[in-house]
This record gives sequence, C-alpha cells and structure tokens, in this order.
Amino acid sequence: MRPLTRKLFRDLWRMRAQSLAVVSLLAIGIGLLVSSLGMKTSLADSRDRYYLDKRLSDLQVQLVRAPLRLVDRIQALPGVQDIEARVAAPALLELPGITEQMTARLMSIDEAEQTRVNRPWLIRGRWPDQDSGRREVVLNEAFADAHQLQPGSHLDATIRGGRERLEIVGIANSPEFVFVSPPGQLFPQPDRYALIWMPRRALEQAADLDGAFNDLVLRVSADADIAMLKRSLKDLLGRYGAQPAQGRDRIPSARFLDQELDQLATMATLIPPAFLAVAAFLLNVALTRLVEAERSNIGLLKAFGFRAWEVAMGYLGMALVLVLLGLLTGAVLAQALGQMMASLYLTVYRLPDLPFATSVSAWAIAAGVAALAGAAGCINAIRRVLRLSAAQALMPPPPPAFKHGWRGAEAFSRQFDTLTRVVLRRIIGFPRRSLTTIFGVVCALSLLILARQFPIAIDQLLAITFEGTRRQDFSLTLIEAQGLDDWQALKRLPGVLEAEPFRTVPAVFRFGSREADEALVGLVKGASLERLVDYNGVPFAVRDDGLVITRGLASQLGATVGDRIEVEITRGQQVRLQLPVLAVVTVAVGNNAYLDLDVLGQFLREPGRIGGVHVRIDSLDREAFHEAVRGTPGIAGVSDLARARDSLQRTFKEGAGVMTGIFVTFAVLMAVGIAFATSSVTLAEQRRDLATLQVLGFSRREVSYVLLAEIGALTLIALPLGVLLGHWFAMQFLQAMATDLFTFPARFESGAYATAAAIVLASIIAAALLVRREVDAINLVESLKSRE
Amino acid sequence: MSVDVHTKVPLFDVRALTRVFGHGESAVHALRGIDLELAEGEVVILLGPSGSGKSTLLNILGGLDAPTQGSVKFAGRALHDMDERELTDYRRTWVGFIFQFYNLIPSLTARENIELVTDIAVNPLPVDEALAMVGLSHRGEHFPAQLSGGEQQRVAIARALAKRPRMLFCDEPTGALDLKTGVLTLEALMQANHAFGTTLMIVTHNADIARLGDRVIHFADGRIREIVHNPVRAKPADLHW
Ligand SMILES: Nc1ncnc2c1ncn2[C@@H]1O[C@H](COP(=O)(O)OP(=O)(O)O)[C@@H](O)[C@H]1O
Ligand SMILES: [Mg+2]
Repeated sequence: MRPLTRKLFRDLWRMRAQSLAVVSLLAIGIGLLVSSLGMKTSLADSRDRYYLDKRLSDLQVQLVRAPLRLVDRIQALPGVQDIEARVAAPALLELPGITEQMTARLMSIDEAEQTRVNRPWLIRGRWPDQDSGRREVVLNEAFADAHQLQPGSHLDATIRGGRERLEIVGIANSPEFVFVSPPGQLFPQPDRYALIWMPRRALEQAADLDGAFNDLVLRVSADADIAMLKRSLKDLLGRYGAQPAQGRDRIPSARFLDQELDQLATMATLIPPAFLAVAAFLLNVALTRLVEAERSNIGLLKAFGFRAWEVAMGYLGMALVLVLLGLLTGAVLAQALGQMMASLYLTVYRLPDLPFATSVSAWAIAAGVAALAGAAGCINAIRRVLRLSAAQALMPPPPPAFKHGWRGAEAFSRQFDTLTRVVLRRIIGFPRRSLTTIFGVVCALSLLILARQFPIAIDQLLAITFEGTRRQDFSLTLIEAQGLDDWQALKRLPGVLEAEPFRTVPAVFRFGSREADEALVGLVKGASLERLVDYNGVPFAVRDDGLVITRGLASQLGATVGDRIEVEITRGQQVRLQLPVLAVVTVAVGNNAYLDLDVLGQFLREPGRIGGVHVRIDSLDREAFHEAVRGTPGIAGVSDLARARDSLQRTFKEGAGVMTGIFVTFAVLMAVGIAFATSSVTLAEQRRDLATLQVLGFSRREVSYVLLAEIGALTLIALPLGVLLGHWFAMQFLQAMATDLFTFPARFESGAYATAAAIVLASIIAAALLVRREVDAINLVESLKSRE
Repeated sequence: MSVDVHTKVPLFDVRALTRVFGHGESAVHALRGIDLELAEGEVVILLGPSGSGKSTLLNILGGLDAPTQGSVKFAGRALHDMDERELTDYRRTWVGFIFQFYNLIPSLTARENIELVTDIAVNPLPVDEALAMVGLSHRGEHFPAQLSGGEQQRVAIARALAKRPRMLFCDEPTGALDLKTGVLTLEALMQANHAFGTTLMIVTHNADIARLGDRVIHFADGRIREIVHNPVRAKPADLHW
C-alpha cells in the first residue's frame, strides 16, 4: 500500500466515531431513499402487472337491470376492447359465533379462467361447477383468512330476503379488490366484508335477474375516446337505470393504491435529503478538523515534494471511502427496509406477489446524492489543504485573532463573568461555526418532531373521525331508499338509543370544465351521530339552501364559496341541479358534498325517503340488535365503526411505527454526532486555554464549564428554533402526505415537542459529557510546553 | 534585597525528589534525587542544558506535576500528598506561573486576562495596579492578538502578580523575546520581588540572566551539580545577551 493510502485508512480508523456517524447517516439517508423509490416502483410494477395480467376494468357501469342481449352492442361501441356483463348483488352473511352483521358482494362468473375483465384467480380449491345443483361459491382470500374458512366450509347468506347455504369450493383474489373495503367505506374491513363469486345461473336466480345483468365492467382500447364512450354508454344503457360510467379513480382499491404510491414518492423526496445533508455537515466538521490538526503533516508532505492535489486527494479519498461505505451499508439497509415494507404491504394489499426490487435509476439517484453529500462534506477541507503553503503549514496556526465585536455584543458579554465571556466571545467570534452547530441541532430536533408529529396526526385523525364526525356505533345501509315506515322500524330495533337517518347518492359535480364523481350526502340538521366536522374538530351545519363541500372536492372542481356548481344525480330519476357552494370544509377523511336530508329528498322527488340510519346502541343489547338486523330484509350493509377504527389504526400504525423508529434513531445519532463534533472541536482548539485556566487555579469543574457552556448555549438557542422549524416542517410534510381522501390534522403539540427537545438535549448532554471526560485527562505540563 | 537562606524558615523544602517518565527500558529519569530549600523572598535561578530537568522540577514545585518519589513541602505542607482539589487551591492561592509562551486566553482582553485571576484570588491587586506594574496601563483593552510578544509576556506577568503570589515560577520567560523586551520583562519580575517579597524561581539557559539571582542552581542530568551564591544581584538593565 502506498504511504498516503495507509495514512488514509489510519486516519479513518482514528476518527472512527465520527466516521461511523457519517457512514450511518449516509446509510440511513440512502437506505430510505432507495427503499422508498424502490418500493414505489416495485409496488407500481407489481400492481401494473397484476392489472394487466388479470385485466382490471377501465370503466364500470352500475345498472338496475339490463338484458344480456345488449352485450354485443356494447362490445361493438368504439373504444371497447372487452366487457363482462355481470350480475352483482349484496348479501348478508352469517357465521357461527359471530353476532355482528357481515356483508358480501356476490358477483357472477362464467368460465372463470376465461373472464375477460376483472379476472379472479384461484389461490386454493377449485372453481364452482356451473351446473351443480348446490350453491358452490368462491370466496375472497382476506375474508377466508380472517375467519379461517377453507374449501369445504359453509356460509349462510341472505340474498334478496332469501336464505341460501353456500358451499365454499375455492379461495380467490381479484385485481378489483387489492384492498377490500365495503362500499361507501374508506377503510379496509376484511373480516366483515366478503367477495363471493358464484356461477351466473345461480346468482341470476338468487338475485332475480334472469337473463339480465346489473354490473358492467369494460376494458377500453389504448386509443379510446373515453368521454365519447361514456356518452355512448349512457345513451345505450340510460333507460336501464345505468349510472354514469366510472373510471379506475372510482374503484376504491385502485384509488387507495394510487395514493399509497404518491405518499411513497413524497417520502422519497422529502426525508432522505435531510439525512444526507446532515451527513455532509458531519463529514465537513470531521475533515476540516482533521486538516487543522494535521497542518504540520500537510506541510511536511508538501515539503517532501508531494503536490498539493496529491495531499488533497487523501482527504477526498477519505470522503470517498466514507461515501462508498455509506452506499454499501445503505444498500443492505435499503434491501432490508424494502423487504420489510413489502411484507407489510402484502398484509394490507392482496397482490399476487410483491417482489421488492431496487431500480437502477434509484441507485443512480442515490449514488448521485451521496456523491453530492460527500463532495459538499470535503470541499472545505480540500480548499484548506490546497491553500496551505508548506511554510505556513509547518508553523503553528496563528492564534485566533479576537477583536472587539460590535457594540451590542460587547456590552452583552461584559455583563457576564470572565469565564462566560470566553464562551460568548468564541460563539460570536466564530459565527459560521456557531451557526453550523445551531443548524445541526435544529435539524436533529426537526426530524424528531416530524417523527413524533406523524403518529400524533394519525391519532388525531382517528379521534376526529370517530369521536367528532362518526359517533355512531353502526351505520345501516338500505338496499333501496325507504320511507317513513321503515325509518320507524329501524328506530325501534332492540338496543337502539339514538338513530339518525341519512341518504347518500352518487353524483357528478361539474364546475366550469371540471367534473368530479363523488357522493352527495344528506344529513339531518343538528345531527349528533354523523356530523360534518372539519379536521380541527370544528362542526359545520348542513344547509338547506346550498352545498357544503369538502376541500378535496372543491379543489377537484376548482370551485370556492359562492360558486354555483352543477350536481347531476343519476340514481332513479335523473336530476340536474344548480346549487351554490355555501362553505368549504377541510375534513380529515372523505370527499363529499353535503346537503340537508329533507331538501335532498325534495330534489330527488322522493321526500322523506332515507338511504340508511346511523345508530348508537346500548352495548348490553348488542346481540339482540344484531339478531334483529339479520332478520330485517332490505338492509344492504352494516358497518361497525369501532371495527373500522381498529382496522384503520392498525394500517397506519404498522407503517408509521417503523418509520418513527428509524427517524428517532437518526435524530439521536445526529444530535450526538453534532454535539460530539462541536465539543471535540472546542476541546481541541482550547486544550491549551483550558490547561492555562487550571494552572491559574481554576478547578476542573470551572474549566469543564468553559468547554460545555458553548455547546450548551448553542443548544439553548437551537432548541426553540428547532421546535419552530420542526413544526413548520411537519406541517409541510403532513400537507404533502394529504390526499383528496385524507387531511391530517396538524397542531402545535407542545407536549410532544417538549419530549422531542428533551431527547435531543439528552443526546447532546451525553455526547458532551463524553468529551468532558477528557478535561480530566488534560496534561497541564504537556499542554503548556509549546504551541501545538 | 539579599536574603540569608539559613536564618529563615524555608518556603519550599524538597527532599530526595525523583521524577521518572515512562517505565522499563524507555524510562526517562528527569530528576534523580533533588534536595533543596527555598527561602521566602529569594530569587533563585535554575541554569542548565536543555533536558537536564529544570522544567520538571519547576512543574512539580508549582503543583502541575507530581513526583515519582521524595517529598516537597510548601510552608510545611506536603505537596506530594495533596489531591486534585487541594492542588487547585494551592495554585489558586499561592503560586503564579510565567511560561515562554505567554498562554494568555486569546478571547479575553489584557484586562480580562488579569481579571480571571483577581476574580478568584483571596487578596488580589487591583487590575489597574497590576497593569501599571508592567507598564501597560494603556493597553488594557487590547486582545492578545493585538499585542506584541513582549507586551503579551508582561500581561502574563501582571496576571501572575495580580494574586500577590508568594511564589512565582518562570520557565524561560524571556526565551522568545529580544533583549530590550526581555529586560522589561525581567524588570517587572524583579519589581514584584521587591514590592511583595515574592519568591522567584527563574529557569533559563542564559548564564547572563543568572546574575539576577541570589542563588544560581546549576542543573545537569537531573541532578543539582552546583549552587552558586551571588553576593550582589545584578540589575536587568545591566544585562546583555
Ligand atoms: N511528559 C514527559 N514525558 C516523557 N519525558 C519527559 C516529559 N517531560 C520531560 N521529559 C523528559 O525529561 C527530561 C527533562 O526534561 P525537562 O525538565 O523539560 O528539561 P529542561 O527543562 O531542563 O530542558 C528530558 O529528557 C525530557 O525529554
Ligand atoms: Mg525546560
């Protein structure tokens, strides 16, 4: 090995604590960057392959009843590639030992393996025998897993009031339901909502749809004119009670996946750069210090005839080695994080597979960013090496030339005792360094606050959603809107303490040239169960003279308060309305327009009709309530809010937990690294002064004060700044993570921020005390003998 | 002011003092058995070749280093038995140091460097008086980097004197100075001896400076080779090196 190379590795070893910190930070930054980028492409690839392979529909039309003979005409429409005209029906399920209402969506299949659109695929068992007299069905995997159902198990279902005993012969999944959530629900409830595939003939009979279909799914050709196709579909199918054709963005599963991908992209762009910046900062501190300490070596090397750049290469080499180590460790970390995320995703998303693969482009980006961090970290040191002449380098560094600072600073420092003045003059005298330290601590604290804010925001989102907005225990949805009698009957179900009617109708909203497919929700005034509440918990009243819409819908339409928007309701009678927007509410979850229930009924020319009820029940009567619900025909679904909350919480927490852990580790590492670097520099530069003070008769305690007060004072300045910046950063992050379905509540969390500050402070104290121990080891005689 | 060593209680009483650095084959015997008494008010010059152990002796007497063996008593108290806290007290209260490199705190002005000491001393000189003693009343507000080497050394002396030390250790105080500034420095030291009766121990390898002392202790190879009494102290102004 050449001597300069040997020196390089010796130096790295000598600075192993700092090298380790730099490498870890680089590795974490790279690991996060590559794993989130990789996860994004892996998830997107896996999804796309799945969608393509199993032929996910591009458009879906729900109808009341259309004759099957229309199939050829639909198939012939321009732009249509493939269609499936299905029969679909809701059902209530019963399983022994489970009292709560469970619902299912039944879908017809013909030759399952030949299904042209939304093709389900078998995981276990077999497909039903089309001609079997028994009710053979295939069940979706998530529900089967949740209840340990196997081929051979039975399910009791109520379809259109008739009870059927279904025999499960197979377990399957479908690209339509990567993420299984009941209709109208945003949250996965795999154990309360099932997907069941049934031979067409059997389902036609059960659903009373002989020779007809009510659920059309289409794949379109690449060059299709979607808008025109939608119009043709409407013209052709309108008289059969067809809803407007809806794209993939209205398939809840597909929509959720899209949002997940967006959030991964956000993660990849926002978080890793912070870590890499700090790595660069630490590298800079470490290398610059090394150059200072090695002035005479550098001088000697130059005097021996090494060229300046050869000497400088040594420091560049160190940066390079650290960057390479960081990349390598980061690669391992990325792989581990990626695998972990992939298996986490697979528990939530039912994909055929999710192999985690990192893309070449992710690595290119990572390598580029790491190189940038490395370069930023060593440029200062290298500039110094190049600038140092041999003669200069061999002389001791000139004593730091303190001058009288500006008047204010001077007057300020004179209020303190002499030792404190030493500290203050250093802080003021080396502003760049002081600011760097402050910046570092601010970054560490910001990261920590960010890490703590996210789970808090999730908790608040859940709290606002389930304690502010959805305070009912259950929501019962009716198959068709019903009148007063049914409302009375539902109110009188056993155990019901409080009941509130509602009605939700799908609607197309238009403003200017923009259009959005969402739902129009009718609520009663003064509702206390399902309320309209913004993301800070402030309730809004529904109005009878216009719409209250969510922020997501408002931005989809580009509409704001005062605008009149068109609302087209297609269910039942076609209704087209022009309604003013009276308020825009930023809600935590969901994306709808709201109107007074009675007014909605009048608009629909069905006054007094309700689509369902929200109920609060006496928990003692739970069993009786469920029993009664099961015996009530006309109920399409029951959603259990407590369960929804649990499932949502699990989904969020699993993902957030890992991230929080990583962030906290990082932030602590960063704080320790910075405090260690800063106090080491202070010690190195002041070793002689600290010895002098001891010679003059100052105790080790007093001398330690001079050493520690600097990082202490800088930390005191940095903490409040860090809290503010961290708060701001967290707000930005939460905003970036928001989707049209979720808005994360974000508040100034003084308690959490104080904890974060305390953690940073403790890390700094620990690091500083480590350096302080060296005060005891200062050899007075050695330190004073000569200039270093 | 000449002092008769034998009629006074010794300020320092050093017996069989040795100091070994390292051990085994690489051990360096810096002091190989020193016996010495210093009287209050005395001016003692340590003279000897480089590496002969002068600084080592001075550091041990000043409480900066500990002997390997032997005893050092300061006004009857055993220095070699003191713990860290007692040594700190000892340095704080009784002794001052002057080094070849002035060891001023660069972030403090001349005045503040002196205040460091007056803040913690028991019966300090007023800062102005200390500055005046070294003829630097007008330079109090300057930072070390704004002062010449000689001025810095005189600030260091003022700082050492400000606590009215009973003992002042000077390790090659003029080593880095030219004749003129060196003389000013030495005059300041002699004046302290004159004004407060401070005992001076000055290390030098300059034989001419040796003429300033009451006694000249010749060092060689970690031992006292010879002690010479000067009947009359020379004045710094008479020196020429
Ligand atoms: N801390 C130390 N470690 C090892 N050897 C030392 C140390 N301090 C002094 N020495 C050695 O002790 C001897 C005496 O040194 P010193 O007292 O400084 O001599 P002088 O001041 O007379 O030049 C020298 O050989 C020196 O190398
Ligand atoms: Mg010496």
